[in-house]
Amino acid sequence: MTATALPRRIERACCRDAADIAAALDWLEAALAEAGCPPSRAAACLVVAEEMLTNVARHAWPKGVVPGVFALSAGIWRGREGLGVLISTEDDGIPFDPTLCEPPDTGASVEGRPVGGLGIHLVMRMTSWQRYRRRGGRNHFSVFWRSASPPD
Amino acid sequence: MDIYTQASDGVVLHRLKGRLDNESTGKAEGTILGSFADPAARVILDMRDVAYVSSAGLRVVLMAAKRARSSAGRFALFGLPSAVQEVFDISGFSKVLAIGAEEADARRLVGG
Repeated sequence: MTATALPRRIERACCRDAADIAAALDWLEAALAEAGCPPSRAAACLVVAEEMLTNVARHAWPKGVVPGVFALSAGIWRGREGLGVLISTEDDGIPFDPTLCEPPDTGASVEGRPVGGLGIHLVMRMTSWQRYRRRGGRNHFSVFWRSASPPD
Repeated sequence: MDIYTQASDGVVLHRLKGRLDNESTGKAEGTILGSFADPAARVILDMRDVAYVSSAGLRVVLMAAKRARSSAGRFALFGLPSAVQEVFDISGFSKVLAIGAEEADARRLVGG
């Protein structure tokens, strides 16, 4: 199968419910597959995208509010070191800068750990670049994820 | 997420298949945590066919580990694919949970 021509930019509007977020991840997974990214490598990119989407869906607006703007976009290209994906979310919820979140204590025991609070940490650790901007009443959060080239 | 459950030799083994993600954790949480209804339960998760685990999935795994500790039970996992291992390493779960390479390792970890 011939991989889709790159670079490629795709964008999708999202809803807050879990089923639509799962559909958005399926959509991104298909785009990664078309770009020649094997499922075992795409998994990490999908984790990052899920954390970004669920964070916005749960916290950007009060419960029950339908978003005016909630979108996921991805810029996909191939470089010498493998596939690169610029994953971005845009929303018109309350201002929130994920890059300012304190990292959790990952050395804590099972008993001493709070349940939850790992999503943003995964995003920050699994991507090589992150940027948050608040512009025009909207949050713009972008991260760069890279898939290393498979061994020859 | 599909979950196939087997119980033998006093050990409950859940074989997970698919994504342990935001959408699937409701089902996984009910099934896995339900295994600890009896005190001193011994529970194993087969992770070999898990495509990925997000923080929602980590939440269920941590709740299971806490439930095991509080009920004198035992809890172990085995067969983490590389994508899952990466998430466990970043979150620190690799250091505090009982994780085996093979099913036999996990059975030893729970005393089965």
